[in-house]
Amino acid sequence: MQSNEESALLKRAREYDQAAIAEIYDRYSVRIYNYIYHRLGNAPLAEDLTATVFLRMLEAIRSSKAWQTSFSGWLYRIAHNLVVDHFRAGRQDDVPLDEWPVASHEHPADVAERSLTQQRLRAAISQLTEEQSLVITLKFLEGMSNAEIAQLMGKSEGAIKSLQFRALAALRRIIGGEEL
Amino acid sequence: MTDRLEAILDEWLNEIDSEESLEARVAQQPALAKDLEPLLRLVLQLKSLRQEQVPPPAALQKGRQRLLSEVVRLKEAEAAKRRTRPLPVWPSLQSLMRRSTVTIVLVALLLSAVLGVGTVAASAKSLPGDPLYAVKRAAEEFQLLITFDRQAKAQLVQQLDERRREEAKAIAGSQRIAELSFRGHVDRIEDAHWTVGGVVIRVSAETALEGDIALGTFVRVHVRSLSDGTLLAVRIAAEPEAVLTEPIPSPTPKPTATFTSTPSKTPIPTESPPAQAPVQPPPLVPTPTSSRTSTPKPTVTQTATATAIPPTAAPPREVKVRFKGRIEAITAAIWTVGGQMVKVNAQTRIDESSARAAVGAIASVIATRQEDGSLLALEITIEQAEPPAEQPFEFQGLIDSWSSTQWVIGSYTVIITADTRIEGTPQKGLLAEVKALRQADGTLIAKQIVIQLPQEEVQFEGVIQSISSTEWVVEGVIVRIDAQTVIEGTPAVGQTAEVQGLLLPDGAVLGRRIIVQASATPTPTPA
Repeated sequence: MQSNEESALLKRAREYDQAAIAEIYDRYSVRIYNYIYHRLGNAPLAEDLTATVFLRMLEAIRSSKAWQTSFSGWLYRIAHNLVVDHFRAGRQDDVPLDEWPVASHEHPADVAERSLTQQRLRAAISQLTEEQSLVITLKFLEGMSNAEIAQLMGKSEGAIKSLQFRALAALRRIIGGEEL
Repeated sequence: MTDRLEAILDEWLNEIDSEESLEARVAQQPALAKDLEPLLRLVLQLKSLRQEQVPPPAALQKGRQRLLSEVVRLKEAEAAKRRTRPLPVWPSLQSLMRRSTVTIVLVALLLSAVLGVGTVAASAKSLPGDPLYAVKRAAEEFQLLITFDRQAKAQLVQQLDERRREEAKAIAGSQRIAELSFRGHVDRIEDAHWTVGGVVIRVSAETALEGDIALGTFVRVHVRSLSDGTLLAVRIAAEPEAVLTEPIPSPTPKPTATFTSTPSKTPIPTESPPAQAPVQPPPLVPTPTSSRTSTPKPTVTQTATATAIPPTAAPPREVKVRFKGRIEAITAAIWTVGGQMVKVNAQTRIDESSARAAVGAIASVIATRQEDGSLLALEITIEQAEPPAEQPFEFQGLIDSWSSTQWVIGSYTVIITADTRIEGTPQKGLLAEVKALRQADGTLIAKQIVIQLPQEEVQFEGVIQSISSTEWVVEGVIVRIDAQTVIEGTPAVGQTAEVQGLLLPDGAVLGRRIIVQASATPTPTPA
């Protein structure tokens, strides 16, 4: 559901109104950045993919297939597709472990093991369906409430609860016997 | 059963944030521990991915600039297309102006009537991006059109240049986002900061510099104002300057003098020299950059095209234009590039070193304007091959859901169209091979979906733990039900069932035959 204000903003953006597109970027870029960052754990890559999300938005904003209900949900789906592409291309190992911050009280081996575990978990999330990975990321990595996710995905809160349950079950199946 | 688990899981999720809280909650409800504890442990792992402190997105500002640059490019491409269409009213006004002073009066009356004297007056203080700005510019154009005295026209052009510069300063001062252009001399160059006509602009690696530009050069600057008040230069092009000077009684411009129009993406009528009625350039006066050129540059006003300045002994001159755009058509004699038709002949040099000349490719053209107004290409450089509009994409995945319009397979959603070929019957958990076309926004349009049936048969017996119309859980195993599943007996939770089926790639079983053992107690029918 879009407010009248957002509908007007998107209408202007479809006409390539620079101020409107700048406002959309200012409104959503940090959220999209956070989403990608949580999925990849790599700040430079998240910055680059965030820029790509908005360029893709611009390319497709006039398409009738762009979005039906939620504009922000559409942006998240573009971000999701880019993240999945990244994992499928096998580029998730781009970040060397030595770039992970090491807290002074932790042994470097523990840090390395934790980062590997996190990367495995991130890769597993990318094997979920689009909706499942969205709900997992928004709920557990970004801390959104069911109501917020429901609004963003254009679903009821009940549907989000079910989706979250199925997503966790599927994620558990994917990681299977792997020790996390 | 599943609904209850979902509800309890959702409730517990909010309470559990550590190993201790998880164990305490599970200890209170041991009956649910078996089903929910693994999921809750997974949730703790997921929460560990959550960073309290997300790194500052330092480069988001850079991404914003990239995006807005792209907007400018798209708008320019659109404007170029529009410019190629004949305007129904304005050119006819221009031709009217040339014909009769009587009609000038009529047109003046018409402008006042249509726009209103008040509207025109109110537009005087408008800035680029304001609704009345177009009125202001139209009024200025009109003023130029009806100014015939060469000296007065040059003076007016200089006033208008000054006005554009003041507008640029006002836009920067108000930190508004807008696109604008102005002209002036390059006063200062300091790294990325230039001063042109007293206006400070920022030049980046992406700024297009056209022509010989140095301190003192008269240039037109196209800028984009950013919300922090910066004027970011998109393009800076050397231009001939309108020079205010007394008329020379018998102008004798050197025959070698040539004129090169402002390089622009497409030839813009108001910025180009006249096509059909060559205008005698004003007396030649060396520009401040004349030391870098062998001949003095002629000057031209921004709107010289519409002015009927009496021609004097005009030497033949060559008017070059440069533009860039997508190749829309290629014939033996004429190409259409960025909406602009340009003739080619045996002398036209076509540079295909970077990409092959083809419809859709991006080309830059240097052409001369002929006496009949047409363009003859001197050089066409193919800069970039046609970008693929859509790219083939193939993948395999497990079917999660399907409808007449879209399927969710693996981690992808694919769009189903009338052209999509589907082989096999969809079932959740079955492996599907997909051939699709990826659109610019990442949308996948399915061309072919082949559903692979599992080969491994399984048979087991266990207690029915949950039942729905599409899925049962028998002894912890998910058994999917479809139209081909034969169910014998009356199923109910708690009863024992023998399951024969096919092992799906996700570990579930596609039930082919389920025999429910008879029970003495009444049982509900499946949902």
